[in-house]
Amino acid sequence: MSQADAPVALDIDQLSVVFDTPDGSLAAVNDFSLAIRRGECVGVVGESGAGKSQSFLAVMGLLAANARVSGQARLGTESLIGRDVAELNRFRGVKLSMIFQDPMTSLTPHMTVGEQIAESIIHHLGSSAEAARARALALLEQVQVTDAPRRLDQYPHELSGGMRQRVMIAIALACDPEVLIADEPTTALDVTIQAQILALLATLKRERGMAMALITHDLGVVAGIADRVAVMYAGRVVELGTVHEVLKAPKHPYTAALLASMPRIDDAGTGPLPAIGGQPPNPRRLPSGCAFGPRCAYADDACRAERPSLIGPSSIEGTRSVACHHPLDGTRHAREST
Amino acid sequence: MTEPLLQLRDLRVWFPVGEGLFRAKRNLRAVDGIDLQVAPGEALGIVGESGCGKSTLARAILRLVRSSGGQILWLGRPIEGWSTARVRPLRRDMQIVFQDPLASLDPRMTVGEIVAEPLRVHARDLSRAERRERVVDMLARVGLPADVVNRYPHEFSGGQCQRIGIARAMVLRPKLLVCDEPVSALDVSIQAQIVNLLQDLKRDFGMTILFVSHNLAVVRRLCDRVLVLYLGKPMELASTDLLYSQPRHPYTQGLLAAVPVPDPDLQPQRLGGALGGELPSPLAPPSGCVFRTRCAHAVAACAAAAPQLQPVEGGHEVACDRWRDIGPYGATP
Amino acid sequence: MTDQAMAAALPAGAARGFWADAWRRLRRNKAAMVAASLIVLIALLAFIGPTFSPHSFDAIDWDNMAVPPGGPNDHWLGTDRLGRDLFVRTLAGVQISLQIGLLATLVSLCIGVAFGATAGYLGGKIDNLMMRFVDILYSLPYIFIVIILSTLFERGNIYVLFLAIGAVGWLTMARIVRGQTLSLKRKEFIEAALASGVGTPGILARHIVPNVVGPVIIYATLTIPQMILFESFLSFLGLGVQEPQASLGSLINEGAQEMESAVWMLLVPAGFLVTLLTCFNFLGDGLRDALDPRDR
Ligand SMILES: Nc1ncnc2c1ncn2[C@@H]1O[C@H](COP(=O)(O)OP(=O)(O)OP(=O)(O)O)[C@@H](O)[C@H]1O
Ligand SMILES: Nc1ncnc2c1ncn2[C@@H]1O[C@H](COP(=O)(O)OP(=O)(O)OP(=O)(O)O)[C@@H](O)[C@H]1O
Ligand code: SF4
Ligand code: SF4
Ligand SMILES: [Mg+2]
Ligand SMILES: [Mg+2]
Repeated sequence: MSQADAPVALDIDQLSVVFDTPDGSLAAVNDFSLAIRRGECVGVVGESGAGKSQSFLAVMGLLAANARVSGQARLGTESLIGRDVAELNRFRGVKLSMIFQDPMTSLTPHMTVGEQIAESIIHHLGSSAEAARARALALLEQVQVTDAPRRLDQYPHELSGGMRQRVMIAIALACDPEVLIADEPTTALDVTIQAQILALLATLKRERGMAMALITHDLGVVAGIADRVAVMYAGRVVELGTVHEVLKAPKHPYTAALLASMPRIDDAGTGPLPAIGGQPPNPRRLPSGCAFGPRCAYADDACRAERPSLIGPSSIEGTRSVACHHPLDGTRHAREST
Repeated sequence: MTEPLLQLRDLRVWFPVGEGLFRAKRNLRAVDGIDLQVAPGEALGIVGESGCGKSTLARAILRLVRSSGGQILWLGRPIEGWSTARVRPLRRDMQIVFQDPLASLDPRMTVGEIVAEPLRVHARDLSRAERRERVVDMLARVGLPADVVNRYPHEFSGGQCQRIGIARAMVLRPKLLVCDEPVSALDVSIQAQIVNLLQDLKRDFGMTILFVSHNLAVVRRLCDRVLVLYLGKPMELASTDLLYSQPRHPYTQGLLAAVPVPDPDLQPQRLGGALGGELPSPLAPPSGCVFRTRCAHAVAACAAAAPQLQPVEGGHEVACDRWRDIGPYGATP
Repeated sequence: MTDQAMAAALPAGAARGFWADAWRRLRRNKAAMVAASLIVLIALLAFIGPTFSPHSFDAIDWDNMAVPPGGPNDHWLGTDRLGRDLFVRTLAGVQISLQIGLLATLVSLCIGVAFGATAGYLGGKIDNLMMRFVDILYSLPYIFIVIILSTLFERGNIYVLFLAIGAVGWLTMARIVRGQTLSLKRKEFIEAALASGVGTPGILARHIVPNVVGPVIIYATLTIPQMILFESFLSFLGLGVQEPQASLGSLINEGAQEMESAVWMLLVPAGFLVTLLTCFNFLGDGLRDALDPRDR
């Protein structure tokens, strides 16, 4: 793949996030390492509470006040962790942009769409008001907002959810970012609108050569536009590889089980789904050893005794890493149709 | 065919909405002319985009909202005009499971009290011990241990709360279970558990299920027949097999094409075929075929008259006048 | 999944009904329990304490004027400038202050809950009208109303005055109850109950009231000290109880005037007032936690 030798745009290294809460500290993210190259989209997949959002909020410097961060994240040569707000604002919204799940609350209700896009352009690029407005219009057209000239003067509540998400994307793109972080950008939308937005993101990635992190809980979303996938469970990356490797031949039992338990639109089966038993892990009471152990069909004493660490590409064939004492061989556990 | 459990004849639910102080009230046609027969033991899926009237239809059937026109026949008897008091005894046979597992449980009641509530209303002659026994049995049936009866809903995860909600709905062994997006708020790894549970319950109790969902993959797994709604109107009605393998209506085809599959060989191409446009305002639906503003096959005639559901084959019905020209195009070839 | 695994995932512990559970949680809250005991103790003391003293609250002891506490006499907490026993007077003040606080709170509670629940439950136009009425009353200056009221009623009939204050002070309560009822009405669990065939009385009694009663009790607990303080404030302005009657407020007012020469005259009633207020606030906080099972 061509991205394999492109320069690294965002390099996250051993990032950990701990929250201090009245009931003790909560480790939300542990040793999160990920390098995203230019022109590459990495899907970050996991269930609710797996630590997907907090990892990238840490990168953006947007964590809650009770959070403690360790580790490093670099945008090109600039380090991002531990910088103060003024310094971060030189990158945020300029070279590093983020879009969020809820397009309803991420826009300011009392400003028109045009003003909100232009604001960022004027602020960061120092353009004149007219130039900013012209650029806002171009951006809206680029994110395929229908009837763009009229939309410039509309308020967010006059737009549908899908339109608002497009406007969010336009704002994120305003200063030609090198890295775009999309945190569940389509979760609140209908499948039809989701498909439109994903197609748009795929186009933008291709045309602009941005590095992109796409956070989602839906493996199907990842399959469409990601080049690589990181699967998270209980605050850790448990599997990392190209989208083909991970989805076609998962090595981590969690990835495999998740794939198998998802009903598929192209599967005519009607029998029971191979569900994952148990409950998602409680970050305050993680089991000893492997966090997936209590729900894992392959768990043994070794798994309960010691937490498997993420073994990198050197020890496993291909470009992938996996954190499991008994990684699957990738064929035996392919999805069995019922 | 056995007598249908439930029949809808031209069912309509219109909400009057006032637009400002001086403008006239308009009607929002949330459900607009649904004809449907549901056989006992059947699982019928109701799908469509957000705002197309799925929940409203489900609630109208349960008489939680008033219908504005048409008929609802329950076991052959029209019930749509009945007073609340007269409907009450029927409620023992029709129950509902909601989308938000936690919000649908009273935070001030223990799980035991919550599950016992329908018994309290409809099985008054049960002794406390008998009632408790039925509650514990039902909880076991949905996979929860007996000692949960003394706990409060907030102590449970989303999936467990949904099990409690299902236990409450099932404790009277209703004939009809309406599920309004029962897995949408759940973690991916938990969805399959709940889908399997519903499948088991349906099989074991011979229950009829109305399954409202925007997750078309789950519907395919669980339902026997599917009704596709758009702006409150039926677009297509077919057995699950036919609907997914040979969808006839352009809207159904677009919906199915939009569902992502976790396969990197297929999914990137699928993205290209996404349905364009957005749901028009339900206050100003397009004339003629309501779908025509987004339909790639639309012709001038589509704007003139609204197509009615017309039979294709084997109970397959589609509301498109051009279905013969369009041809089937499925999720599985 | 297996039942064992499910059971293992759940914390152990059993509870009965909602109230038993709330009581259990309240009992575990040390600060709230200490506060509640102190309130009961002070109340008991206020009502039976004076019988142990040889003095009455308005008797003047010509031999012991303005003596400090602990002197060689039977005025345990000293006397005031007129030689009236401060122990008895303070307790009489506590009596009156407590009664006033309870009375005014009770009145505002009754009106507020009835008004708020009606508005919230009926909704629509009626709700709109009722709440605009509340808004109008809100915008009138409180103290202005009270001054008018105190000129209407015979001066010194403090109970009538506080009945009236309670009747003005229900506004916040009405807003709280209405908001709660409104949001409850839309909750899915209410719809679930409706779908189960539970009738309106059942829904009100089993779902709405238990969910509304928590905030109501909490707010009431916090209103009592507000009312006590308000009475003190009025007494300070000379609009409250009239001599020789005493409330904590009037005693503090007198004490403040003698602050330099006889500081105990201020400290004794102020001590009681501060203790009471603190206790009520702790109790209110404790109730808030106890009545909300979601907080744990
Ligand atoms: N301010 C905070 N204080 C304490 N814990 C927090 C805080 N913010 C997040 N957490 C916890 O951190 C963990 C990871 O949260 P995160 O938002 O990253 O999850 P996620 O993977 O994005 O899930 P979702 O799919 O629900 O968005 C969760 O257990 C969450 O409860
Ligand atoms: N009580 C109401 N008053 C006015 N309009 C309503 C009311 N309830 C629903 N609607 C409108 O009716 C239409 C259908 O709503 P409904 O909730 O049935 O959609 P849905 O298909 O269930 O959507 P979703 O997937 O978002 O749940 C929407 O346009 C909605 O705004
Ligand atoms: S380490 Fe053991 S328990 Fe964990 S996923 Fe691998 S096999 Fe399962
Ligand atoms: S009737 Fe016309 S507009 Fe409607 S779905 Fe058929 S072809 Fe499309
Ligand atoms: Mg998140
Ligand atoms: Mg709905």
